[in-house]
Amino acid sequence: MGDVHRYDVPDTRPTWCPGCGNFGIWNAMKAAYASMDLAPHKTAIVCGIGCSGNLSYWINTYVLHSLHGRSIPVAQGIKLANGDLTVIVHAGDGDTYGEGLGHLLHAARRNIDITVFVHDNQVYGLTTGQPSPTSFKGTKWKVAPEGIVASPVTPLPLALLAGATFVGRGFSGENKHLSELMAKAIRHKGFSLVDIGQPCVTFNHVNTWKWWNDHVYTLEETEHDRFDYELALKKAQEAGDKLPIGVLYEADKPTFDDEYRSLNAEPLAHVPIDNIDVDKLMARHL
Amino acid sequence: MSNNELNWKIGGEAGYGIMTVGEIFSKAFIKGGYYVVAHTEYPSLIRGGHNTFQVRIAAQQIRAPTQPVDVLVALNAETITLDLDDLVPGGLLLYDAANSDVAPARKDITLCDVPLAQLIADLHLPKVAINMAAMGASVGLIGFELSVLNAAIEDAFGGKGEKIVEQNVGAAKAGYDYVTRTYPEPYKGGLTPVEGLPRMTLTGNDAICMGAFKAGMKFIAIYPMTPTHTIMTYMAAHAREYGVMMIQPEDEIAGINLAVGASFAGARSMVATSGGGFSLMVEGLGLAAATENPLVVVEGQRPGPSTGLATRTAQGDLRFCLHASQGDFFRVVLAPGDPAECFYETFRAFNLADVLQTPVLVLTDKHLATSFFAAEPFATEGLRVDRGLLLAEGEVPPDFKRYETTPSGVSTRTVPGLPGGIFNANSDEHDELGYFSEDAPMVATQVDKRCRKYFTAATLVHGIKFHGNPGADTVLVGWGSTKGAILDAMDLLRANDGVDLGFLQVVFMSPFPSQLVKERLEGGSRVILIENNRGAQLGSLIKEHAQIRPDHTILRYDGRAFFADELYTRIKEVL
Repeated sequence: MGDVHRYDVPDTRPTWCPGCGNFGIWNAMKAAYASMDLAPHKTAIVCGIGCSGNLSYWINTYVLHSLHGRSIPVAQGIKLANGDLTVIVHAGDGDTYGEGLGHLLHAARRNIDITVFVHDNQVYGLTTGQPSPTSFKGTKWKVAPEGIVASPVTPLPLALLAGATFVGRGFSGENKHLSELMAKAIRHKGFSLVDIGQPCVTFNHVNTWKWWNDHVYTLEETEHDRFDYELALKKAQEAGDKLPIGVLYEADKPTFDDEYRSLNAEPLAHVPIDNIDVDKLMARHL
Repeated sequence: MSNNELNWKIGGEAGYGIMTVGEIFSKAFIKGGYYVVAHTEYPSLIRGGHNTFQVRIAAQQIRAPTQPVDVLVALNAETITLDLDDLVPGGLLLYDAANSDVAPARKDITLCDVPLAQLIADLHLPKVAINMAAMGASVGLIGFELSVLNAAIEDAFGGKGEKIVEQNVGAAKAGYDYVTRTYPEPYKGGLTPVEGLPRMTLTGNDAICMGAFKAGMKFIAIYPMTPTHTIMTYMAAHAREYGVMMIQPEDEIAGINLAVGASFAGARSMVATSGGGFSLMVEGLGLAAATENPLVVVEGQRPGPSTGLATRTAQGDLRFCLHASQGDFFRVVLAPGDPAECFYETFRAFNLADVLQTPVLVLTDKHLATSFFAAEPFATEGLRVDRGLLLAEGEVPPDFKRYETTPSGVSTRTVPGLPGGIFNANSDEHDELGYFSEDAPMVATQVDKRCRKYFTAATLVHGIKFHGNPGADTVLVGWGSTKGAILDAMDLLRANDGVDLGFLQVVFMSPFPSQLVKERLEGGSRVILIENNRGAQLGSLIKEHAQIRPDHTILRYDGRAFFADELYTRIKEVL
């Protein structure tokens, strides 16, 4: 077990609202990294834009604080250029399930070895409280006074159908459980999605700490077989009174980067490029 | 047609291998010592549309297509209906009368009826092979060497096995034998192979790929879009040999963000698209600029707005590329004008991207990107990869600041994996460490830093080329693919009218070579601006940066490139 404070950025402290679910994720994340003894300089974290993305300022690794919705493509680019790096996305529900939902599904089907942690607070916080793609149908908001008409996005079944080889759900309030879940997701070889429930104490008055505590149960306390795809798909669709947290699904499948590296052992970023010969290429045009 | 020049055009239904034939035919004549410019016109359809491929062949250097054509090959009746007017009086129509329900309605041309379908049926080959028979027949009519055509056929089909080569060579021979028996006199004395330097047959896109390979580009994300789709084909064919990863993303938004990620990780990266795809990439372009990640973007223009004309040409995206994405920042925008410049400028684009740590846009268009040209092999000895201020292990100072303010605007750079080099590549405005900052002086400092690269870049590039008569009182001005038509029109003016003009080719649009343009255009010379767009966009840049207005403007914006002879006439109208 490495030192958790190794991942702190000196002289900074998060600016999230007191009581924000992001603190739990931040602590669990650092504990997960420490448990794996992740070397900060060999770790690349890609953040989206939103309260979750601000985590980029309070984590001492290489970070790319990218665009709203585009952190998954950026992360894939990093991993494909240098497979020796541990590549992790921290993004929000608006990021991942709104603006960037297509990227999530395509990354899942490629099975690129990156890990995506979605800080799912079911609200747009930084813009002062609009409903997000995971906000519940019927809930009323300042910008939806009659209540939301559309059904929420169901990211976990979607990711499973798209081919994700690791799918889980965590909760910011179950810190030890979340930390272990995050470590498992990072260790998994292939595309991992972990949706993390986190209350937004300022703007989401539906999915509060109490709501979450009343609704979650841990899969590890049940007979759930995480290697059973059909069962995982069923569990992933559980909504309503009880929400499972833990590893829903895990499968060992060849990754995109592995298949590529079987052709080119050295990471693209490390290949010498000083004197590349194109004479043979030109000769073919003669 | 002069005696050492010929214009050949083939037309047929999409699906009949018109492009393949055109490329092989072009290569045969380039192998035979000639210069060639070959362009294709086709609608955005897979089947049933009318495709043409026109090959201009000449012993002297040529760079652009001309009208009219000397030999028209009609693989279907529609070609006779649509293209017969292109034939010069006295020209030659090669067609299969037994399979054409349209009678050629001109009396001033020679009809060469060749039973293409019958020849192919006799050989028990699939009907599509009439294209090879027509090509062999053309070589016979022109009095060229069949063996040289065979060598080009072998180059094209060698990878598919001996049997395929034999079948195609056989079909070409059948056409050749038929016409040499039936029409023993070659058209206008014929074009026999000439002594010439070995030259490559290639498109602008091919040359861009070669330049990228030479530069050590290792990652390319490309979503199919005409006219840069053939970059995909070329990359796919050679990616393994050059250790390049090409990924086909779900969309152009993913594409540019993948490339930014790969660049952040240290691999030289690029994307290629057209205007519509680039519209989707615009936010990612800003991400590369804000995080100061090197990136090369190839934008092959076609007419817009929106879907526009998917398979035609234009130069309408210059202003868009110069201003794409919100906020003040510097990007390099450059425009090669021929395959050699496609190669050298693409190579240079990667160095500039690394040295300046900012996006570099390479602007081409459908005409340059997909037409075939003859080019001498590129001189690669002097080309050196320059990765700028990229630090290696052991070089990272203890007080490393990724976004340190420097006179050049460029700071030292690390990549993930490098010990001691951790930083936040931040799309938010940030301080020297990458930590977000809303501090007013720091904001201005960082904006200045990124914009200062404009002046640094200006010290690194020349930006213009001047061709022709340096003392001419009339100077033509253009950029990009019009270079070929302008130079050829100047040759015609010199040969026919004894007029020797100058041509200012603007290669860099950003940083704009204001001083050099001023020097060349000031002092009373008459300026004729030539562009393949409606808005005279280079003209507006010259007004902005050099305060000079052109005396005349020659524009074409109907989706087609200038023909050299057409441009010659239009220049003469204003001279």
